[in-house]
Amino acid sequence: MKSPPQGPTGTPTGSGMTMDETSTAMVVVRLQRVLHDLRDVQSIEAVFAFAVGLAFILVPIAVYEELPSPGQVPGVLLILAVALTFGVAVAAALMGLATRDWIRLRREEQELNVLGPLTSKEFAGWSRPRLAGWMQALLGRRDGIVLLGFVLGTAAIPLLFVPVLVPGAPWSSPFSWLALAGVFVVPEVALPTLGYALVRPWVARASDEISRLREETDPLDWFVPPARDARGGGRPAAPAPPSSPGPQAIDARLRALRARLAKGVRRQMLAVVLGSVVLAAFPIAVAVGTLLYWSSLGGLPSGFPTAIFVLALGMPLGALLVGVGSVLRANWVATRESLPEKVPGGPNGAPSSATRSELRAVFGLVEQGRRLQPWLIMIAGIAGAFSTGILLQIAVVRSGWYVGSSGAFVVVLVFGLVAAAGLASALVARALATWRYRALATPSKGLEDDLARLEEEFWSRF
Amino acid sequence: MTTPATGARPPRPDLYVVLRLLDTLARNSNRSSRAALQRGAGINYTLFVRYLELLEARDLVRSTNPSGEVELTAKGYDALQFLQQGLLEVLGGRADSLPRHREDPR
Repeated sequence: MKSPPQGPTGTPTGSGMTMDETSTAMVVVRLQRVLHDLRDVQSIEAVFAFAVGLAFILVPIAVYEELPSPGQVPGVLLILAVALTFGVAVAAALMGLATRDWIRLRREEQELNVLGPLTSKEFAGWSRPRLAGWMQALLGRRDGIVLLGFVLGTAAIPLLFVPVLVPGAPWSSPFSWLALAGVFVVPEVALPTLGYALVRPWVARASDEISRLREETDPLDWFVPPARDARGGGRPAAPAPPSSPGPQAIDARLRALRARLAKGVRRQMLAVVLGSVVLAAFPIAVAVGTLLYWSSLGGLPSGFPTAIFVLALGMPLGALLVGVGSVLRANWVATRESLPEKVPGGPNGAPSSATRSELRAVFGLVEQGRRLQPWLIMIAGIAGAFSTGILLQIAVVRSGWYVGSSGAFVVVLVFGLVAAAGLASALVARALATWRYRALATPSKGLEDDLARLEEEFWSRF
Repeated sequence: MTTPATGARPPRPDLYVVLRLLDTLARNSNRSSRAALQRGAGINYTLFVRYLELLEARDLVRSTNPSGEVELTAKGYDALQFLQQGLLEVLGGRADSLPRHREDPR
């Protein structure tokens, strides 16, 4: 068999792209895929954090039902509220699981393309087209689902609070009950809804900016093939494009990319913090609304522990401070990373190893944001769960259960349960967010289709 | 020279692994020891053997006796060039020039 033409070690091969460059390109492309998919995760994460938190909060409420009741809680109302909130949680969980399945199936489908058509045996048990189509439709309405989850979830809480908080409410009159419920429902539903509507464009703008970056910054544009392999012994070298950029041009592109990435990351962080503000506004609104309502009834009930109320307000405010601090840190990181320190450039216009390190550093900045975001969600989840739990304590106190040492025990017990549930829900939300990021670090469709086409062609030819 | 296909084809023949194997051979004057080739490909030995069997079955490489070295064939060199050019086109945003694959039967 005829041997192929010989060439010296390390020479760029036929296409002009050496193996190191190919590997670097794949690293960068993979990071870009993560970038591209970031925006798809945000809404799902928010629903997870919110719904899972609510579900955990409702556990001690179920315990309440078993405790001696002051006779003010209509059982049907409680069941309805619990069912509503759990419904939201289950729907969110199903959405997340189905999304995971959809992504997994898409990836497997791409992998199977390499092996050729599926056999009937392999195809057995797969309902891929139907499931993928269903998920596509569901994901297409993701924003609507998120908004619905906010509305239903926030409506469920006041439905629980009103009967407990309001002494001597005229339960016999549905209209009176609705009026009282409206005092709590309107601010709690309207605020998150309005806040979400305000935050959504920020998130979308930041995500679009990053998507544009992904489209416009093709890493292989920097990997310019040499005009001719001067050392080669007969291997054909691809002609250099007429607009081959030199090291200075590459450096300029790197600087521009860094600046734009830093801007995009800052916007994303700001959007996340605004989302945290919305989450924090919910318990704050409840606390203030409760305070105003009680004031209208003649002041706080006797024996009311003021410290608890301060905590109820202080927790979400503290979360806001932490969120703002996180943004300041993200800004600092972005500013630091946006200052290029090395001048790239290598033989034939190809990037040097220093340039490749630069590229990795740029996308490392995005990784900073990726790691930070779940923590912000976790903080918001803890703050929301804790402050809502504290408000539950207010409900306990007001309803008359706080009597004597046994009442104090109930308060401590419930507070502990809610605190543990809030922490657990936040940890679950963070774990889910991290898991989602890993699961979504898969190829984007357009590029992967091209790669699959290349693989198909390769295996059919060779 | 060619080892017959054993049916132990890797579950997912990764083109980048194939590319690394072929490129490692090309960089070493089209001939390499198995150990050096495995290191160049960056995969574990079990997987390396399966990839090697796949490439031999497709006549892209061949094992030489008695040294046990692996040699790049002319067809393997063509495959390497095809892969490099194809990857450059796909990753360089010029994928439209690639031939279309057949329709997915599903």
